[in-house]
Amino acid sequence: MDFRSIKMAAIAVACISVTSEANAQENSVQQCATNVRIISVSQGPDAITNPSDIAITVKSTDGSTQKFATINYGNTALNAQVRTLLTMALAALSSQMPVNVYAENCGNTDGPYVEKWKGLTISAN
Amino acid sequence: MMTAKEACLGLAALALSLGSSSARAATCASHVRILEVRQDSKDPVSIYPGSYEFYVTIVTSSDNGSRDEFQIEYRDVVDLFNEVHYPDRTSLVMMATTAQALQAPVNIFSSYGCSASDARGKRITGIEIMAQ
Repeated sequence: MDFRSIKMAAIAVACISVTSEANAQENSVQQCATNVRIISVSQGPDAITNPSDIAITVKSTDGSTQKFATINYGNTALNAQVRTLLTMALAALSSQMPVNVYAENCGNTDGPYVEKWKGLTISAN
Repeated sequence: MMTAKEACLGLAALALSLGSSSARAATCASHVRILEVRQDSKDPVSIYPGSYEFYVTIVTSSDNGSRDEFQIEYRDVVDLFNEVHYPDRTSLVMMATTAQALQAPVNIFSSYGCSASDARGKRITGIEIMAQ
């Protein structure tokens, strides 16, 4: 194997590791809220970057509130995962059942919203 | 011929322009209830010859009893073979029916502004539903 081939192989390995890292980040979630109630579900108000982002406001038992949005997904309305989150959020708002909320990074915020809200667990009372 | 660097810069510029394209939304109604959600009571309307836009209409009532009407444009037919759907508006219809069933208070937003300036009426692009 000549030097050029070794160099190409090294670049290929580097590319693969970057892709894997990106995939791992894409799939990972953190639990940002536990046993909270959804007090609002919205799409399209001013504070949200993209008019098709879906957002929720949750309230914990101590009265504090937190906001989560699907910010930075890109084309959120076309994203089946976001549509599912909307369906679940509306059900949880209607029933006022407790939920756990997951996001890519709980510390990543855009204004009042935690970015990349990715998951929800709804538990029966 | 375009170099790789130029291509990257072009893509970055495109991403930035796409990211900043969202319009600011105005609040058209605050803390109202949805009385009615309907489809098909009006003929499709369009200000463009040869095309049709389809709407779901929602009727709201405020605390003082005044009523208002808003349109959610969910589909656009340019001609028989060019049909455009707006999934973000379909989700608004879903939200409107939920809010109507709950009789929960809602805020209504529009990126087009709140005034009815043409035959299309007040077109809305956002809803916020609050728990009771």
